[in-house]
Amino acid sequence: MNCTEYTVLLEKYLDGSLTPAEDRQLRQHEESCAACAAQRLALDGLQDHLASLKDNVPDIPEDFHQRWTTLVEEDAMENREKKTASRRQWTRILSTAAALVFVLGGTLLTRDSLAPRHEQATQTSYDYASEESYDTAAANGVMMLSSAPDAGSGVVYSRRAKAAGDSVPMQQEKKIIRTVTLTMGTHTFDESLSALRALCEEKGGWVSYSSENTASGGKRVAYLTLRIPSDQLDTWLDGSGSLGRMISREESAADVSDSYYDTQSRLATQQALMARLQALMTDAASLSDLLALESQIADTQYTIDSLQASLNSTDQQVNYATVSVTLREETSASDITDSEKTLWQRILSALETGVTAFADFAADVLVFLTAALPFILTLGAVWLIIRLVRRRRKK
Amino acid sequence: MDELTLRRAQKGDHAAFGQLVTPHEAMVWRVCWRYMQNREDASDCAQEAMLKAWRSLPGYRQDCSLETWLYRICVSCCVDALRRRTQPALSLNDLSEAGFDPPAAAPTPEESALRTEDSSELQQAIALLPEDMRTVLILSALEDRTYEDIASITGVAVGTVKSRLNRARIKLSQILSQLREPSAKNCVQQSERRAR
Repeated sequence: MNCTEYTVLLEKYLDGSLTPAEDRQLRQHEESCAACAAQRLALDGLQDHLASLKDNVPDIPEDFHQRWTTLVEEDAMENREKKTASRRQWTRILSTAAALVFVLGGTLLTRDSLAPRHEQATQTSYDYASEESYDTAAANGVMMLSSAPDAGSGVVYSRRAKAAGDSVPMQQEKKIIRTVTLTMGTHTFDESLSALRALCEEKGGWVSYSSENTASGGKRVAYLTLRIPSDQLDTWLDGSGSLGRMISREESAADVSDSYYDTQSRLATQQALMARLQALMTDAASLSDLLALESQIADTQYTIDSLQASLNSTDQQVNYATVSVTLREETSASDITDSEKTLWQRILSALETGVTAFADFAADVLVFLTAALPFILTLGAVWLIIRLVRRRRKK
Repeated sequence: MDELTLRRAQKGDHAAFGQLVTPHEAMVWRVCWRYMQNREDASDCAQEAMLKAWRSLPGYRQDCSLETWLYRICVSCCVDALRRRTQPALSLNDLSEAGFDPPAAAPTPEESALRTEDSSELQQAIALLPEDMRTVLILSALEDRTYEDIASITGVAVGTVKSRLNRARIKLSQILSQLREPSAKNCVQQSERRAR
């Protein structure tokens, strides 16, 4: 057995797992190797020797506790500062995000309601019929007709309430008020505007309202209200179609026959009453009868006049359709289809669109912020108060 | 151990950490001293261990006792500190070539008083043990930790701890023999070479 093999047995010896045979081998080696024998002897006394070291430790330095607690305290403070800084940073990021969402979201949500009024007017169908005409139209049923600019065959009719014609005697002419709303684009703005007016006058109509202004991007927009004889409306519409690019077209036809003929029969009744009252006037015996008849005649005349005015107004609206036109100026590049454009034209067009959209959006943001100013100021004041109160409490 | 105090300490309450750890500061100091054998280094190492314990406390999952966990941290800090020492660790061969010139730092008067000739020799011999053997020897023979505790502290199996401890004892006795009887040096060196 050599010293290495002896060491293996020595480990077993220390473990207490040595067999009697191994124990004999161990001792045999020790007889031949004084160093190994001395090692085992030393090993036997090592445990006691080590035990003597257990208490051989100097006292804890007096300032040890103070030093490590200070270190920990400083580290805790540093951590707290880091956390506070991190929280502040997150607060800043979240506040910025919230402000962005507020401004962008608010602008997008409110841009329609805060847009200029004339923009809304172009989308609204309006006519100049009297309030009574509106009421009677609602009572008799309104027929709506709308069509896409380039889809003439795709006309959609919708009838609300019961069909007005059903209750009108067959021999009587239908009274229908027609209203048309057009939005057109043109790159020859002045020519198109003049042509629209001329075409209207040529058909026997007239311009009842006209305004012109410059929209964002320096493009002009004209708003016209035209009155065109109803029987000429279709030919006028056909003619106007060639004066520019049709963007949208909306037509409505309100059947007011019931209301019209009702008013007409009431008028006839009142007129008959008037004739009878006038006949009685000639036979009146006393002054009191005369005075009573005169008063009755005055009332009846007033009723006749107002009924007649109503009929006249309806006739006017039936005979002359109301056409609202929005004419927008466009660049010539807008009329060219994408496939016809060169790359440079497309780039310029895209840039123009982008700049216009950005400018429009920036304007919308500004309008929204102005509208939201009272809310922002109120919230800011509340926030300041809360902050002041918190600071005072901390003090 | 108070659960509430532990939770508070884990959330960053340094006062709660002080309550938890102060009862173990003597142990921390003792272990660091046993490794470093130098008052100044032991003090630095013990402080580093305390700071490391503070920083690692949020990760303490109570899978062992706080004391065992602190032992683990102390051992780790001491081993790192010894590795960082600029002086390379001396092997037994270096020692013999240099004619036994121990590299220990100058002891303070208190240390000198504590070091009897024997204990000084034994401490130097322990310092010459390989790192893994030294750790199990210190924890078992000087700190009276159980095999299970040592296994948990060092992260090895209980069987490995036992065998490592036996080898550490043998190695220590060999070193001591060599230190006392230079004639025995050859036998030790021979066994070292074979072991390599």
